[in-house]
Amino acid sequence: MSRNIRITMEVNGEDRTIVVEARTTLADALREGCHLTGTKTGCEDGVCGACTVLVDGEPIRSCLMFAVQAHGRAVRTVESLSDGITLHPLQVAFHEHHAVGCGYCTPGLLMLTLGALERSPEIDEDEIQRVVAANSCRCTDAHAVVKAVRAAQTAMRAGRE
Amino acid sequence: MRAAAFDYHAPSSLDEAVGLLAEHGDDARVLAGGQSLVPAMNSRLARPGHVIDINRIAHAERPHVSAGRLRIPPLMRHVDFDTLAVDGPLGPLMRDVTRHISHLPIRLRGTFCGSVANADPASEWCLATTVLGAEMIARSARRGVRNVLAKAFYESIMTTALADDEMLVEVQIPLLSPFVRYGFHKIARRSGDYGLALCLVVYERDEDEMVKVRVGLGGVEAVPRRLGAVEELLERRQPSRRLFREAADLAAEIADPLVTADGDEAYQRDLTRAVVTRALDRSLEG
Repeated sequence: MSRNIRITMEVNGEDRTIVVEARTTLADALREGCHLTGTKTGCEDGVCGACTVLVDGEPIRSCLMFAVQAHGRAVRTVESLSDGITLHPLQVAFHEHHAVGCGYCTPGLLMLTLGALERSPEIDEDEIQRVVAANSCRCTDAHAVVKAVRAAQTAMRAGRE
Repeated sequence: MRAAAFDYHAPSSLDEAVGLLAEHGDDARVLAGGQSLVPAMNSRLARPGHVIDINRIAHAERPHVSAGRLRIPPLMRHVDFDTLAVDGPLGPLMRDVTRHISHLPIRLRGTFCGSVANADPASEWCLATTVLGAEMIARSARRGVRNVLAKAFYESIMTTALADDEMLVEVQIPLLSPFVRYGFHKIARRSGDYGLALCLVVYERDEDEMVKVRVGLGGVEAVPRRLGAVEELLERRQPSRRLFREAADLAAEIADPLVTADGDEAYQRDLTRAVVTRALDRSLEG
């Protein structure tokens, strides 16, 4: 079997066909193959969560999935959140609640919490804390992140009604 | 770091998967959730020449119940136990245990059978399968299917009875009586981290007494184990704080801790005492 593999995945609503090695992680394929560098890599070991993206709607560590596994699947990265003019309610809330420090972990936190809210729109604060604990942030107050997610949850609920 | 180069296979059936294992043997690894295998590959602790990705095999996600057993297929994820997998106390027990496993993104990918086959001493599922008397169904292309009891399945740290050409295709767990009470506790440094010590206690209530007592310890020794002497101490006794303390002291005494970088033996005996006490206390709640 060939070690170079052509894959097609839907990335932020658009089909992308790229050639990867079997060992290429989804994180590397997004950053280097699709030139979407919003997704950050931190530990590259599944611990920090900076590389979190949505695959078929589920927040996953893109450093722990090989790109070939995303063939035929729908991937969403942080670039999908804003059109460049209007921010997503989560981005607005992160800004308003000072949930961004250096910003390196922010794309991962945004995709993690977006995925969690889309899976379970009514999760309570305890559950949000448990979700946020999945990702490491070393310079911002995690409480600010939880507050931002609570605010975004309200805004997203209003948006649905 | 990045994984060493490998050949990728995405079989669409179990037949095909075990066929590939027969062909490539110990140079192949089965990729289910990948939450342990991929980090091991990225750090090159594991460098298989062939990766058999079973995620494209259909109908391998949903559990079912037959002949008094919960039957768990290879692609059932940790998160799938959040909704009750089965009627009776086994459903809530599995839900309580799964909530201690790592974090949402890991729980969405990682699989029950993958954890069992990985045999990490700190695995929640390895402990649960040991205490609950699970049977592992191993399948190979040449020899077909065989059942291995949990007790014989975990051989050493990250080492199981599975042969190189065998795949864990199902785990069967006997259903629990409606009179069962259970308590699970895990001690970890941070929420979602690996457990330093885990304990699962399961027993039935007969009037005021505990019967069919099962006490399992995980994370402390090389493989999870039922503590027979502790079980005997509790059998046919009425639960009390004092008895639980006595049982936990005994557990701490008879545990055979792995010496790890995490701590010395005395610390691990203390952890054992604490985790057993808390699991027993939990069995009286709710």
